[in-house]
Parts: sequence; structure tokens; C-alpha cells
Amino acid sequence: MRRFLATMMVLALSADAYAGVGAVKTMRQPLPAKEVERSLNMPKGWLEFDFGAQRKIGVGSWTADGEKHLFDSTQWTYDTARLDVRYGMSNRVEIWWSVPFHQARLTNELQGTDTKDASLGDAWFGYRLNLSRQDSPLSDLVFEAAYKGPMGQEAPGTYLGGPLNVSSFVFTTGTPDAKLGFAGKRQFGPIALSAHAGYMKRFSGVVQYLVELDNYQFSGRMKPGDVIYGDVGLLGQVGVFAVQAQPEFQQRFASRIGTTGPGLNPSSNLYEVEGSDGLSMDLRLTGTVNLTRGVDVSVMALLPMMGEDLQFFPLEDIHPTYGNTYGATLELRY
Amino acid sequence: MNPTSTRRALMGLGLTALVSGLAPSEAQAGFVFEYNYPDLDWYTIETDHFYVHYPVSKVEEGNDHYLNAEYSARRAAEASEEMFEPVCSNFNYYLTEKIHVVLVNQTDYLEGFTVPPWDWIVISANPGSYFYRMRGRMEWFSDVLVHEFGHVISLKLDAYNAEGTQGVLLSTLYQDGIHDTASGAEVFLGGAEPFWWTEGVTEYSSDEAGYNWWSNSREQNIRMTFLDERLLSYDELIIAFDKNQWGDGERNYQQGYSLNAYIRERFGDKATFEMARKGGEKWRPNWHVVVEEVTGVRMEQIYDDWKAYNSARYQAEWDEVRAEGEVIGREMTSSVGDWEYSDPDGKDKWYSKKQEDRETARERTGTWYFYAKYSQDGKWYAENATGALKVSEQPERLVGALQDEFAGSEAAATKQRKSDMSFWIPNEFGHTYDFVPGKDEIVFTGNEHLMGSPYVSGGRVELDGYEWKAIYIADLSPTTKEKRKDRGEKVAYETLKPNKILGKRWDRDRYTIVPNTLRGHDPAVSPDGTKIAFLQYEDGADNLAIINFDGTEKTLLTDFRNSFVQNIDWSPDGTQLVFSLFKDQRQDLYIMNADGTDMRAINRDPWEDQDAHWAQDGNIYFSSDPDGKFNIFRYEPEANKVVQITNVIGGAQIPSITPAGDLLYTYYTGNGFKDYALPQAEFFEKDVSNLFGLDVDQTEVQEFLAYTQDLSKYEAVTTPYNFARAIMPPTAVPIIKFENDTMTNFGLTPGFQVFTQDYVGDHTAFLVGQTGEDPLLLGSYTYAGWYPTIDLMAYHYQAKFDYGYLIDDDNDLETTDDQSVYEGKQHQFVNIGMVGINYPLNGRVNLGLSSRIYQYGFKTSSDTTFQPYMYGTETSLDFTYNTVRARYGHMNAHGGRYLQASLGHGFTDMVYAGYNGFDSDDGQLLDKYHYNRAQVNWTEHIPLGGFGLDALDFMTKRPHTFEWTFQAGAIDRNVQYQDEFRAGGVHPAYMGTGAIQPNNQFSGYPAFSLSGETMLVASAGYRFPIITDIDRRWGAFYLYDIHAQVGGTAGNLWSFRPPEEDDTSAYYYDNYGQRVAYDPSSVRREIPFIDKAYKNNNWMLFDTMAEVRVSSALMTASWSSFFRVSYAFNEITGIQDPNGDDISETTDTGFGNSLSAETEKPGPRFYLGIGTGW
Repeated sequence: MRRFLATMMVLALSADAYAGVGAVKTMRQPLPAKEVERSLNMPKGWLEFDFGAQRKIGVGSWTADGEKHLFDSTQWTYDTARLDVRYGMSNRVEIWWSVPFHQARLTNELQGTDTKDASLGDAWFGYRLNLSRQDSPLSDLVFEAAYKGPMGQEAPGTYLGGPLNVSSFVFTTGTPDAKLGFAGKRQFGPIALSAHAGYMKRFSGVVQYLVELDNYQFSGRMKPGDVIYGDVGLLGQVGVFAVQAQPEFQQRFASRIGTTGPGLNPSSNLYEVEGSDGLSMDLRLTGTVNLTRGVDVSVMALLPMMGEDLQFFPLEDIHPTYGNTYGATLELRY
Repeated sequence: MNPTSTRRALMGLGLTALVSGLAPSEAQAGFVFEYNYPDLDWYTIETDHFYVHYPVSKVEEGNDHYLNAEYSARRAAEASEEMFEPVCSNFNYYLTEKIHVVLVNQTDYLEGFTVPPWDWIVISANPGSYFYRMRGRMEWFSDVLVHEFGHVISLKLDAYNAEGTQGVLLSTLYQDGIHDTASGAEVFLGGAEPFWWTEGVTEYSSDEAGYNWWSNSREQNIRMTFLDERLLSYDELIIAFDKNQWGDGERNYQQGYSLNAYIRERFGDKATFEMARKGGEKWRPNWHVVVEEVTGVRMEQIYDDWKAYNSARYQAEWDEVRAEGEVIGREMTSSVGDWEYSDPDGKDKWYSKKQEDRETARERTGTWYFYAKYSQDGKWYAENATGALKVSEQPERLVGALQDEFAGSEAAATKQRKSDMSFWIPNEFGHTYDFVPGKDEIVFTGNEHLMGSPYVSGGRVELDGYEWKAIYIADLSPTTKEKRKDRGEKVAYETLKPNKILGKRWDRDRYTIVPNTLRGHDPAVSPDGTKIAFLQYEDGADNLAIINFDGTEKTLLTDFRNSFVQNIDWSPDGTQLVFSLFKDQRQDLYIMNADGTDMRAINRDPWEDQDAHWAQDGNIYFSSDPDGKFNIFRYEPEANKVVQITNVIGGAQIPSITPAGDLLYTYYTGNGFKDYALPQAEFFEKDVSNLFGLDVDQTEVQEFLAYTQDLSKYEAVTTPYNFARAIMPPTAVPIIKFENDTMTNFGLTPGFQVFTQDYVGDHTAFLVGQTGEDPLLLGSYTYAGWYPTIDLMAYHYQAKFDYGYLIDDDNDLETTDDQSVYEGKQHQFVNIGMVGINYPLNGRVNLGLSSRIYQYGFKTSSDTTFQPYMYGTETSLDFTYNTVRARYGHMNAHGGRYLQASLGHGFTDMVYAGYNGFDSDDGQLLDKYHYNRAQVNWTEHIPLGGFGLDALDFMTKRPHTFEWTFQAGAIDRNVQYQDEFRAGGVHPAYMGTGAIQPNNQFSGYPAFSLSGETMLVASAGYRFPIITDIDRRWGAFYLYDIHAQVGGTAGNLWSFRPPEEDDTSAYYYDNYGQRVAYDPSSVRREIPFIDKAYKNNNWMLFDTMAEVRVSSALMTASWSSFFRVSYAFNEITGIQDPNGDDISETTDTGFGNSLSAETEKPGPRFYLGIGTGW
């Protein structure tokens, strides 16, 4: 990995190579040096590796009424290291992968417990199609589609004493998701406005962490609630520095659980988990330094503004705890 | 979680199938050669825009295969830089990346291709033997490089996708064990440029750049294609596949060029280049609309206009020839063809045949017939026919073409004698030969192992990978055999026919190689029969050489660096040689003394003078193209005069004068190169001396001959090849799969394949990654820098899937009101590491040795980490013999044999803690064990002829094939299920392998449903065409053939058998309900055909199948589909879920039944593959 990073750094920082593995191809589209001028899509021929790390410090949860409830003696930290790969596949299309690795820790001073676990998370694959673009100033509209496969750990571990007494953390819903949405960006000199909106369909699946209660032997079927999401961002750039503030909104619908139904609709037997729907809003603050055309460094803070209890602790993907998230990303592109 | 269910589920997923399926493939040493060449060092010339890599042998002393391509590389570098600017200028697209040109000189055969996204061009230093017959004699390096570089520029500009990904592969597979169906589809969304444009635009581009040496050879191709009504339709011009009729591939090139040239004339200089730019702007599955966007006219209309324009033009040319008097003679056939009609009825009869039948009839008389010649004593006749020399004892005046008497009038004895005294010699394609005066011998061009010819038996081991041409002597002395005449006494007769063993000829004793003639070709024997003049190839040039029959006194008579000498012949008195010489863009006739002195030109003209033949009458006959069409001419040295002998519209080449003074020559038609004869009395006899520049200034000639381009400037920019600086830009293909693991477990799996290698192919890396519910990571590395190819591979795969257990309270499946299904989900993994080496023993035989180690495990809901289940390793020696001839672009093999045999030794360790490190299988407790495995797979594809019956003649027109496959395998002890053989129908879109191949064997039964330690399976099938040569396009879809196949399979897989149930003292039940023997020796091997296989409860299994195969292309890429119905005749039992509904019944003894109570009933099973192949 270190060698790979070093190679990427050399390629990203070096002058245009001329042949072989590092060749700068004639077909490659130009990429603006400044964040404010960049399209939402990766330009044709550019390959980007993002190495990100973030930590969420969960200090409480949301109540069903949207109130904050702080933990008394519990601390929940949820770290994510992430590799994102983006490639400008054609004049109008970008494809991307995002592969997370999670590490979670739950400490309870009162009970004297300290439980840790780590696993690959759920990888996302995405496709971004540019519907219209105008440069200088940038005006950009893209269609986005993405898919998540439940790659992460979903076995709750041994449950001696009952299924709720787990020893492992679950890092996936155990079910696939698909997103469809649109995004736009408009530049006004050193400022840019951006927005995303979309719908995430969450499919049902048999999951290991949903244990059939009668026999403690078998698995149940889960369908997390679908999600409507959106955000609006304001970005300002001074020299190589860019700062963005972006409120993010999510409406989650109720989840359903049960056993697999017969026929072509395996979700037909599922029943709704009361109170599992809810609203949430976070504020994302990002600062980016465009070191070169090929290297960016950014730092990020995600601050929860409002939320509701969604019933499935400690599954952050369905039930986000209350707490701030901080992270940094190194972006290398070639 | 019940551990037994874990184990069985593991089986159901077929993960072990991957283990056996990941053995190293047959040797594939890069894209160019089957062999590796560690005896070569590589060097690199760096220019402003190119790298040229070329080989030099490490050892020169005593090395018969020493080669050095330095001068060729310098010429390639020079040509590359010269044409860079004009080609880029054509498209107004200037590359910033440098292009790597790999110059191969290990072969005597033509190579030339490019992969534009990899910035890679490969060309051979040697253009081969017959290329110029189709394209004209040319300056090879500039011609091939400007062509390939034209591809690089045009396809880079035309590519909508970035060069790192050329497209996306979409794939889906749905396997339904309840309805017994498996349906899959695959499509690659990539470029869709039609072949006519791809090849035509680069030819046209080279023309515009001033580097296309388009000659009358190519013009004759187009002309005769029009006049003989052999034109490819517009739809046929679109794809490179399915060009299996004579000359179709070449026509695709030439018609493509001609179409582009027509577009230039009609729409302006830049129209065809603009198509490249337009093509790159957005993705179009139907590329043809680009033409309309650029020209405003539909492509089909342009094609029709082009056709009308050229038809009129060429018809007018023919009228001109006829007006002057067409002198052509007659094709040397054994009877009068229907096309040689002489009255209106005959014409009506001929044209009442379908176009394809007319083509078949015309091409049945030969398509690549060259060099018809008689020995000077008139005893022997020979012709180079489609890549072999047909020699026969044939008195001259029996040739119908010369006297209008055909074989039908011959006496039976004469016909028999002709048949006995004719045979085939493995002369290299397109090369000349010569008779030895006064002897029954012929000298010809073979290759050093006489490999690759169907006329000499194969099987000879070839280790170094060199198959250079060489001069051979063939003995034509007949052998005397006996046969019974009219059921009476035996009579002796003479014959040249070889002895045959198993249908193969064994007559190598007839051939003697002439020592010191490697890379020699095109021999001519001196009139006294003591010397052989021939052409010697080295480093991109041919020179004239002379040698004794025993290989002594070899002398190079010329020493040009950039020449191609062609067709030598001796003067009748043996003192001089005549030949044509191509050098520095000129090709004229020359004479020199037999000792190499006094080389002088006969003529100096701009024509392509070739095929010199010094006849016994003292005159030199040759072919040339002064009026744009090749004809035969006679140069009379005494009178310094040239006379035209033929006057044809097609093209007359390669003259030979018979002892009686008649002319034999090669005539070009739209249906192939044909041997023609023209009686002396019909010679055209037109004096054309004024056309041939006979007044030669020999001083100027000597200056011309002495000139060699000084390319020493490249010495300063030449360095040893450094692979670290020559790694290709990696390319990736995104893959998006949608498929189900089980009936209720669907998932989308996005992934990618990444490939890279260094430019000379020593190092290759391949990476596959997929994410989603079933992540996979596979990395492989291939080293081809040593004699055997070495493969390393590492693989990690995880899979999650759900399944069900049928809980039946009263253990009676008939009562359903007490049944319920419990669901489970499991997370499994497999790790595999492999190392293998492969070595080709010749073009058909491959040896491989591979070793792999693997590990399985899983994680249930109650596990915090993955639990290892078993470890295994297996080392095997694999032997493969393959002569299957698949038709280009699709796989309806029409002949050939595939034989694969392997011997392996394995070791398995069961480690699952839940079983205390043991497992039971077939009644035996297993822990650590060694085993040996032997396996044979033998497939024959047998072309079916018409058996001499008119009623079955249709079988000869379109390929009918009988195919049978025999599989046998044995493992020498009882092994765990994962190590057993398995069979059952597998869809071609299924990612793993492991089921027996071909996959239509036992396709009536569920995938992986049959297993055992002994396997004996035989299948047979009859494959036949339903509709062929459809050759129609609908949008981006192109359809060419539909075939069908019917067949069936018989056999079984037998296992080891636990103690009988009623022998209760011999076994106990383990915790999971399985019978386990107290004494392992009481677990006995089932005997094939004697024992009923206890796992599937049958002595023998039978199935039958019928399928339709659709050969087609989508977006110009091969895209073939099938629909198969299979029917299993036997009801089978099995482990846990034999009926394939992913719900395991648990009656009787609970979850751990050795055999499930459910069965798979006899019945049909359906397979559909859209674009998946079959």
C-alpha cells in the first residue's frame, strides 16, 4: 500500500509523463486546478484515488420525538477508513467505487465493558452521467445512480444469553441499496452553489443479525426503509483554499422485518417496525487545499442538527447515533 | 447454526469448482507467439514520438537461429518518425503519448497489429511470402507502420470512452431450481466502429499521408470483385467475423479503402477523418449514423452509389480489353465448368443457381493456386495449391485446358495411374519450387520442422519455438505396392501415395533438408542439377544465395540491407540468373552471372516487374502491369524486345513455359488465383518494348544498387530494453453482474478487470476485483521470459447467501400442514494460491504442471470470525492435445480433436473445530488424507461429408458435424465431497467452472448434482446448420448463422459406499445423522455398471438435449446466443437439496441426512443464453 501511495504521489505531482504506464493520454480532458471550477464529474481519462479517514464520536441518541438523549456512561466511536476510486470514463460519464473499512468501539464505564470490532463495510459503486455542462463559469447538471452491496460483517457473533447480548458489531444492513438522483453546480466567480437530491431504494434480504426468536437458530428477513435525501452547498474559494458549508437532509421511511414470503415478492410477509421512520439533518463543513491539479487535501466536520430514533442501534447505516464526525481526505488523481 | 447445513451449503455454492477451474491455461506467451524466447535480448530505439523495441540473439557463435533486427528497427524508427506528422495532420490529432513499436523477427511470417489504448504496435520484420500478391510489392516498414499508426490515431480519436476503459461488460444470470431453468445474458457496451471504416480509413489515411503504396495488385482485387460479382454487401462489410469464404477478409480491407476513397471524391478530403472525430463525441451503438451526420447521406445509399460508380468504371475497362482482343486461355480444370457456358441455355442454367452456389462452384476449382509448372522432361507437373505442392506424373497433352479434352475421355488405367502418381508436398504457402533436371526430385520451400502442414503428420516435438523456412528436397521415386485386381491375382503397381497410420501420413523419409538454408526460400535448380539458387532472408531483407545440394559452398550473391529479391530462374545454359529486385521503391528485372558478378538491369520502369522465368527458348517471361493490369510478357534478350503474351482483365502472373512452348500462368479472378493455360498459338504477340525502359544506363543502375541508407544516427538513441520503462498503460473493463445465488438471494456485483504487461510480453499482470455481497479479488502474474511460462495466482472470494430448511413435524412430506421453512444465511470464503508452468511441445501439444493450495471457511450468525473448514493442496501434471478448428468468431467447431489428460496428487486436512477437526463423507471419518487423481477428457469433432451420395451433398456445402466426448476419472480413495468429481448442467454465464465440459454433458441434471470418485461419461451430438450466411444487420445487431445440435449423454459418477443400513454392527450415527463406519475398510468403492451409485440411486444416467445456436454480433463484437432443452430420464437422489429449490428437507433423521428424502424427478431443463456463447 505504501508503495502504491508513493507511486500515485509521484504520478500526481510529476510533470506529464510521456510513455508507458504513466503516459498522459491525448484523449484526456482538462481538469481545472481550483475546486470552484471543477465539474461534478471526473473529466474523461482522469483517475482519482481518495484516501479518507473519519471518526464519529457518538455521545447519545435521538429520541422518537427528535430529542437528543446523551449517554450517561457510554461512548461509541465509529471510525471509517475509506478508499474511493473515481474514473472519468468518457466525455460525460464517471464511474466510481467506494470501499470503507470500519472500526467500532463501545465502552461503558458503569459496566466496565470495552467492546471493539472491525470489518470491511459496504462498498458503493456509482455512475454519474453529465446531462449538461458549461465551463467558465461552470454550470453543471448530472444524473447519479449508485448501488451498495452488503459486503460488510453482519454476523452478530455468539449470543449466549440471548440474541441481544452480541459480541460483534454489525457493519452492514445486510441488504442492497440503490440510489437515483440529480446534482447540480453553478459557479459565480470564486463562489459556487451546489445541490443534490435523490431517492434511495433499500431492498429486503435475509440478514444474519436478525435472529429468529423462537429457536435462536435461524435468520429473519429485513427491509430497511427507503430514503429521500438532499443537500445544498455553498463553496467559496480563495487561492488554493476552498471552504464549503453544506446542510444535508434525509427522510427515512419505516423498516420492515419478518420471514421470506413465497413467490416473486419475498417481502410480502414483512411487517413494519413502529417508529423506525424519521427525519435527520446534518451540517457538513469542508475545507480543501488544492495543492496541485493532481493533489488535494481536505478536512471535514459533520455536525448533527436534528434526528429521530430509528430503532436499530448500533447499526449506523440505519440508526445514526448522535455525535459529531471529523475526517480528512487525501485526493490523488492522474 | 447446524454445522452440517454449513457444509452442504458450501457444496451448493460450488465454490470448490473454482479450485479445479483455476488451473493454468494452455501456454499463452503473450499476444504474438505461443513460445517464449529467452535466448533473445531486446533493445530500444527512442525517437521523438516512438519507442522501437527489437530483438538480438544472446549467442551468435554456433547458433543456427541467430537473429539481429537492428537495421530493421532503425528502418522502422525512420519510417515511424517520417509518417508521424502527416498521419496526425490528417486527423488534426497529435499524440502526446509515445507509441511503442515492437519489431518481431523470430518469425518468417507476417505480423502486424495494434492495440491503440495500449499505445502498442507489433510488426514483423519479414512481410512473409505472399502478401505482395494481394497488396503489391511495397516498402514494408513504412506501409505497415503507417497502416497501424493510422489505426492508433483514428481509433483513439473515435473512442468515446477513455483509454483506460474501452467499455462496460453487463451480465446477468438467473438460475431457478424450481422451474429448472437457467437464463443469462451478457453484453459489452463498447465501440461499434464497422470493419470497413476501421480498416478503410487507415488505408485511406496512409494514402493521404503519401505512404500508401497502393498498387495494381489491390486494384485487381477490387476490379475482379466487381466484375465477378463477388462484392461483400454493406452489412457484410461491418464485422470482421464470419469472413470464412475465400478472400472475404481481404475484400473487407479493399472495399473499405475503396469506399473511403469514394467518400473523399464525393464529400471532400476530410469527410472520412471527420467521422473519427464525430464518433468520439458520443456513444452510438449503431455507428453508421456517424456517416450520415458527416455527409448528410445514409450509408446504405453511399454504398449503392459507390457500387454503381465502380461497376460502370470496371465494366468499361473490360470492354476496352475485349475490344483489343482478350487473350486468356482456359482454367486448368478436369472438366468444363458450368460457368464456361457457350450458349444462352448454358447461361440461363448458370444464373439460375443461387449466388452462394455459384461462388461455391467457382471456388471449388481452387482459390490459391500458384506456380503451375512442368518439369523440363515433361514427366512431372506441379502446382502450389492452397498452401501445399500438388505433384503428379501427368503427360502434358492430357491437360484439358490445352486441347479441350478432359478427364472423362481418359482410359481408366490412365486415370488410375495419375491418381497413384500424385501426392502433396508440404511446400510453404505462396513459395516457389523447382524440379531437379534428370532426376525424380523436386526442391521446395518447407519449414525447418515441416510443421503446420496437414500433409505431413504432426507430433514432432518443437522446443525452441523457431519454425523458420528452409530448402528441402523431395524424392519423387515411386514405391511398388500390390493390389488385387478384379478379385483376382495381385498385381504390382507404382505409387507416390504415402503409408497412413491412423489416417495420418508417415512419409517424412521422402524429404531431405538442405543444410545451411534456414530462412531460405524460393529455390531454383541449375540446369545441370548441381546447384540451388534461393533467397536468403535476414534482418528485414531478402538476398540471393547459391548452394550445393549437400549444403556446402553457400554463397551470398547479393548483400542488400533493404531488398526483396523475387523469383529466381536460371538461364538454359546455367551461366546466368534472372530475378526481379525490389529496392528503394523500384522493382525491375535483373540478370547476373551465376557466380554473382556482373549484375545488371534488364529494364528500368515504374511498373511492378516480377515472376521472371527463363524458358528453354532463351526468352525471359515475366509479369508486369504497365497499363494497370498484370499481364504476361516475353523479353527477348537477343532482340532487346518485350512482347505481350496475354491480354486479360483480371491479372496474369507467374508464367511458366511448357516443354512444348505453351504458357501456364496464374490468373486472378474474383473467385481466387487459378492455374490457367494458354496454347502458344494463341499468344497475343504485341510488341510493347516502348513501355519497359529497355535502354538502361547500367552505370546509374550500379549507383542505385550501391546505395544503402545510412541509419547509424540511431545508435546514439539505442539502449538495452528496460521493462520497467515499458509497461503498458493498464486498461480496465468495468463489469456489472446481476445474478442470484439462491432463489431468494439476488445481488448486483460491480467489478472490474485490469490488465497490463510490458511491451515485449515478458511480464503480464491481471487483476479482477468485485464488490457487492460477494466480493472477489484475484491477482495473477505471468512470466514469459523463460522457456516455460510461469503463472502465479492468488484469489480471495466471499459469498453470502440464504437458504431454507423444511421443518416437517411428522417427517412425512405428503402432509404439508405441519411444514414450515426456517431461513438461514451464511457467509463463506475461499482462498486459493496457485503456481503453474506451461510449455508447448508443438503447435498442438501442451504440457503443464501446476500446484494449488486452498482454504475454505465460513461465518454463521453465531461466529465472530470466519471459521476455517478445510485446507487442501493438489499438484497435477496436465497434457493437452488440441486441433479443434473453430470457425472464426464463433465456436461451431467443424473438426478436430481435443484430448486432455491429467494426473494429480492431493492432500486435504479437515480442520473445522465444530467437528473436532474431522468430517465424515460416504460413511468414513476423514481428517488428513492424501489422494491421487487421474482424469481424461477426449472430444472429437468429426466433419460429416456427403458420403459420396448426391442426396447428402448438402452436407458438404454447409458444415455438418458429429461430436462425441468421453470423460473418465478416478480418485484412488474415498475423499471429502469437495474433492470429488462433479457433473450437471452449468450455464455458460456461470462464473465458476468445475462442471465437466462440454457443458451440454448431463445438462438434463442440476448443476453439480452428481458426484463421486469414479466418473465414466460419454456423450454424442450431431450439429448441423439451419440457416447460414444470413449476413444481415438490424441496427447494431448482425446475424450470420443459425445452427442446431441434438445429442445425449450416458454414464454415471460412482462413489464410495457406507456400510449397508441393515448392517447395524458396522456403523454408528454421528451427531448429524450420518452413518459412520467403525472400520474404514467397510466403506467400499462402488464398481461402475455393477453397483448402483448410492448417491443418485441409479446404475446409469441418461439424458438428451436439443439446442439452437445463433451466431451473431452486437456492435461489431461477437455476440452468440443459444437456447437448449435438456431432458433427464432418471430420477436422482442426493445430498440435502437435490431438487434445487434451495430448501433442504429435514425429515427422517433431522438436518444431517446422508441422503435427502427429496428427489429430482425426470423432466426437462431449459437454458437460455443471450450473448453468452454456449
